[in-house]
Amino acid sequence: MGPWGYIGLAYGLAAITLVGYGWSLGMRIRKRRARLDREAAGRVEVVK
Amino acid sequence: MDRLGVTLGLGAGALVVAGLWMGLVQAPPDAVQGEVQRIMYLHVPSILTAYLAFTVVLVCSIGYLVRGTRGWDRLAHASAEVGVVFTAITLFTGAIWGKPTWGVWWTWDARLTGTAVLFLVYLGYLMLRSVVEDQDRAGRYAAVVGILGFFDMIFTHMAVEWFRTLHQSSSLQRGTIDTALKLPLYVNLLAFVVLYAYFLARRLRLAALDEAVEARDLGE
Amino acid sequence: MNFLALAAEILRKDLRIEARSREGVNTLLFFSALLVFLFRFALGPTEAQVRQGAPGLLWFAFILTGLWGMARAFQIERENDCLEALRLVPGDLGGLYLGKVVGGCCMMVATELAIVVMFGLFFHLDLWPAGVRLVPVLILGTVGFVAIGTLFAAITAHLKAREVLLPLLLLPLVIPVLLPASRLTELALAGESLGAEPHWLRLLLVFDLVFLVLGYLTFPFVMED
Repeated sequence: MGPWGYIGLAYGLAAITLVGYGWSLGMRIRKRRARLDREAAGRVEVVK
Repeated sequence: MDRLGVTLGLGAGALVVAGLWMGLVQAPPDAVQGEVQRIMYLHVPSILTAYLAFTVVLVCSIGYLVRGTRGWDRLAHASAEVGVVFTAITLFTGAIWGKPTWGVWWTWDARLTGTAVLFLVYLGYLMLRSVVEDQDRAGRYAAVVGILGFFDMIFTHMAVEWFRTLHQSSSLQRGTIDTALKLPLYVNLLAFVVLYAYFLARRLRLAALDEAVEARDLGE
Repeated sequence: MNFLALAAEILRKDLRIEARSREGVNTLLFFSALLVFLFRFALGPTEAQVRQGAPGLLWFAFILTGLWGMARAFQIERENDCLEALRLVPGDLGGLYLGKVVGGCCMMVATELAIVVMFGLFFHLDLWPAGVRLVPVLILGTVGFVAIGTLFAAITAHLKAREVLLPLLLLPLVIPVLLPASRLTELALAGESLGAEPHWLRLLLVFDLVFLVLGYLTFPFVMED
C-alpha cells in the first residue's frame, strides 16, 4: 500500500468515526425528543 | 438544532475543510517521511483535543464535587465521552502512521502506550457511569475517577517515557516541526477544537433530554 | 473524632477481625504458595529464566493478591451493613480512608514478603542482601496501589459489577506504580543499589503522596449517601 493508501485509511477511518459519533448523537437526541413529545400528548404509558 | 449547535457545526465544518485542504494539498511532504507524514494533521490535533477534553473533565469533576449542581456533572460526562472518541482516533491514526514509518502496526512507543492507557482509564469512567443507577452517585463516583485519572495520566506518561528510553537504544524522534508545516497543523488543531465544542454542545443537549425523560418517568 | 483517631480505630478493628478469623491471612498464604508454583511453570525450567522474569511477575502477583485484598476491605463492612454505620460516624471520614489504607498496606506487604521468601526458598535465591533494599520498594509500591485501590474499592463495593469494575478501573491507574516498582525490584534482586536509578524512587514517592492526598480528599464524597 502506497503512502496515499495509508493516508486515505487514516483520514477515512477518522471521518467514519466522527460522522458516526455525530450521527449516533443525533439519533439518540431524536429518540428522546420523540419520547417526550409522545408523553406530553399523553399517549405513552410508562412501564417501570 | 439550537443556534449554538448550528454555529459550531458550521464553523467546525468550514475549519475541517480548510484543514483538509491545507494538510493534504497545500503542505509540503516531509523531507524524511514523505507523504505519510500528513497523517500528523489528524493524529496530533486529535490527542491535543483529547487532553483538552480531559482537562475539562478534571475541572468539572472538581466543580461537581464542590458545588453539586447538575451542570458540572453534565459537562464532565459529555467531555469525557467526546474525549474518548478523540483518543480512539489518536490511537488508530497513530497505528496507521506507524506501519509505513516503522514497519509495524504497533510499537510500545511511550506516547502510543500512554495514549492507550488514557483510553482505558476514561473508558472505565464511562463504564462506571453506565453501571451506577443513581445519577447523583454516578456523578460523584465518576468525578473521583475523572480527577485521579487526570493526575495519573501525567505520571503514566513520565513512567512510560523513562521505561522506553532505558530499554530501547533506537531513537524514536518526533523532532521539531518545520515552519511550513506549522500553519496547517494549527488550522487542523483549531478545526478539532471547534469540532470538540460542537460535539460537546450536542452531547449536553442529549444529557438535558435524558434528564427530562428521567424526570417524567419519576413523576409518573 | 479527629481523623487520626478514627484511622487508628478502624485499623485496630480490622486487625482484630483479621487476628480472630485468620481468613485473610490463610487465604493469602495459600495463594502465595500457589503463585510460586505458577512461576516455576510459567517462567521455564532454568533458574536464569526465572530470575530474569521474576521482578515483573512478582509485581503481577502482588497486584493480583492486592485486587482481592482491596475488594475484601469493604466487603467485610457490607456483610453486616457496617458501611451504613460507618457513614454516620461524626468527624472526618478521611480517617476511615487512612485506616483502611494502612490496614491494606499491612496485609499486602506481609503477603508480598511471604511471596518473596517462598520465592527465594524455592528458587535458591540469596535474599538477605537483597532484602534490605527490597523492603522499601515493596512498601512504596504497595502504598501507591492501596491508596487508589481503597478508594475504588469503596466506589465499587455496592455495585453488582464490582468484580469486573474494580480491576478495570484500578489496573490502568497503577501502571505508574508497576513500572518503577518492578524495575527497582530488579535492581534490588540483582544486588544493585536503588540509587542507581533514583528517578524511579522519586516518581514512586511523589505518586504515593499525591494519591494519598487525593484519596483523602475525595473519599468523603464517595461515602456520601
